[in-house]
Amino acid sequence: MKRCMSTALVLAALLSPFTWSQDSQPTKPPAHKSVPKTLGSKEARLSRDRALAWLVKTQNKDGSWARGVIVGLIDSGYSVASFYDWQYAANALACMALLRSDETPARRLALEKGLNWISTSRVPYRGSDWDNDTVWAALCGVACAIDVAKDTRFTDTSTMKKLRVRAKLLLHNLKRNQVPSGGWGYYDDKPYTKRPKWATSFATAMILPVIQDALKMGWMKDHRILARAKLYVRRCRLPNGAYQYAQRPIPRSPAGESIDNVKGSLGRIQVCNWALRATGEVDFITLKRLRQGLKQFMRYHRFLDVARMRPVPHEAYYANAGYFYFFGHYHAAMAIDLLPKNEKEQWHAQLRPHIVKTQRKDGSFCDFLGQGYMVVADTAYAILTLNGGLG
Amino acid sequence: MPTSKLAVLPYVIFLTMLLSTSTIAQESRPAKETGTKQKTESPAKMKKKTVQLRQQMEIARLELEVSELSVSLRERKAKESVRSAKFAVEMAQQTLSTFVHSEAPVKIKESKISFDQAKNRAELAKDELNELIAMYNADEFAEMTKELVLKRGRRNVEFSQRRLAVQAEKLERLQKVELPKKQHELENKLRQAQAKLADSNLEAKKTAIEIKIMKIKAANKIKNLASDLKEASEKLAKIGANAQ
Repeated sequence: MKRCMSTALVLAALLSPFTWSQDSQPTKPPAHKSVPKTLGSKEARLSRDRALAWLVKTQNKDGSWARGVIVGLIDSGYSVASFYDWQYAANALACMALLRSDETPARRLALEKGLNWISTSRVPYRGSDWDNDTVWAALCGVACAIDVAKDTRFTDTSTMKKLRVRAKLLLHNLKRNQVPSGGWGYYDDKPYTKRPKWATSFATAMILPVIQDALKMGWMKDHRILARAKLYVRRCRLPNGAYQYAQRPIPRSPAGESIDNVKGSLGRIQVCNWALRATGEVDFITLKRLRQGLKQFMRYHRFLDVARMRPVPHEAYYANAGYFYFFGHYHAAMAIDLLPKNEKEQWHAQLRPHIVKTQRKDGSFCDFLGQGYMVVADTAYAILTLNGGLG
Repeated sequence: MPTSKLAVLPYVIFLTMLLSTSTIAQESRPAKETGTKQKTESPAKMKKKTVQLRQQMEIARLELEVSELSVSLRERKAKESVRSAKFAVEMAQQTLSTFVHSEAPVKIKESKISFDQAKNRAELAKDELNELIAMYNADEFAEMTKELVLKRGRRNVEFSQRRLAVQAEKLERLQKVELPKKQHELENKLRQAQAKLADSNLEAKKTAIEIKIMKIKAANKIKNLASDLKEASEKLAKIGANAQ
């Protein structure tokens, strides 16, 4: 991500003066489609069901979605293994989306097949010295397994048994990849080491409640792993409510178009607030702070809008990247679910239009590049977001 | 400048010797030509003349030593000049050969790689643009982003095609103008070095002949002086005997 970010910043520096000076004049901006400020649960359910139908329809015969290989020029440069890692992570999210949605025979069948693939396909591994995207596979794979374990439909089933075995392997992978400062990342810097050294606030935060559940279920024994990870995320929080991209003892200046500005942190604020509060940090992430984060999300949402579908990571204002769109919305929905019951619907109603407006004709969603694994992951995140408040 | 002065030095010494030889000859010759007047010369005059001739002999011998030194100096310089000219020819040949057989072909290969890269980049830019178009075709909402990104993609295609055209021009100029020009220059340098070597060889031959002449002249001068001295000494001895 750092590598992508620096590339993106250089590209942005090179391209933006030209782009704006040359392009802003002659082109008449296309008329924007009107987006309602709020959307009810009925429209959300319709949109979600279309997305679920897309998932069911596009599943491969072996139970997987997408392909674990590079399918587009603009996504080249990563290790060969990373494409499988992302496919694995996207498949785990797709299973979570099916699991948390109303069951139909077709969805159940797709879920069973998907979980079987998650449990039996090759165990993801680190692809190269610098590229450690296998962490995404572990983060999402464990989250999926914990979700299934909490679902009574799968108690004592063979699916659950296989999934538990796989989850323990992935947890072991996470344990080995926890950086000395407590977080998880997906790249490493020189000198490359078996245990990487660079982490991000959002990758670490997304797994905190999952690890808490894994500890409760006895899938993991070492409570210090969670304590260190929580401390990492706490240290990333800035006084204005933003979270640093990665922990820095001396934070970047949030001036100008810094990624650590609130406007560059919209996707991270929700996941970090949700994770810390969900793991007991209620005095640190108070309801007031949770609401403040959601208000910031809605107030500056345009910065996520203009970043969505930008093909170069972090090329948009405040170094926003396209792939934070659905990730951010899903965790905003999760943060909303931590609010008092009477507040939830008003927030979900504000969130839904931003999901529904981006749905594609075939029912899928995408925020970055359009590669198969990305569409699966984004569609899954969109379904999980729309599920918020649907009961 | 100091080198040219040194080069002239042997000639200066040579000329000095020639002049001094003629002076001595002029001084000694009247004695021979006025042989009929020998009887009128006084013993004191003859004694003085004998002393003068001895002094001139001594100077002539020293001058011969100097000329021998200058000869070896000129010989050494002539040899060095030839050796240096030969080295320059070898270097010029080697430079030309390296250029023709290695430098020029490598430059052409490099330029062809740059051209092929530009060609590949142009193809990739087209492919990437098509990929972006396909990506946005599926998305109805991101219209603003789509316009910006696709415009950038189209510009990338345009720039990469222009860059390809420039690379093609560069390759052609390299093959048709720059490399032949440089080869021509190197061939000319070789010809100049070869001409300089020929000059140095002729100069060395000329120097050898001049040295030979100089040696003969110096030897003749000493021989003449010795003859004059002998003659004067005999006259002086005869005068002395007649006086007794």
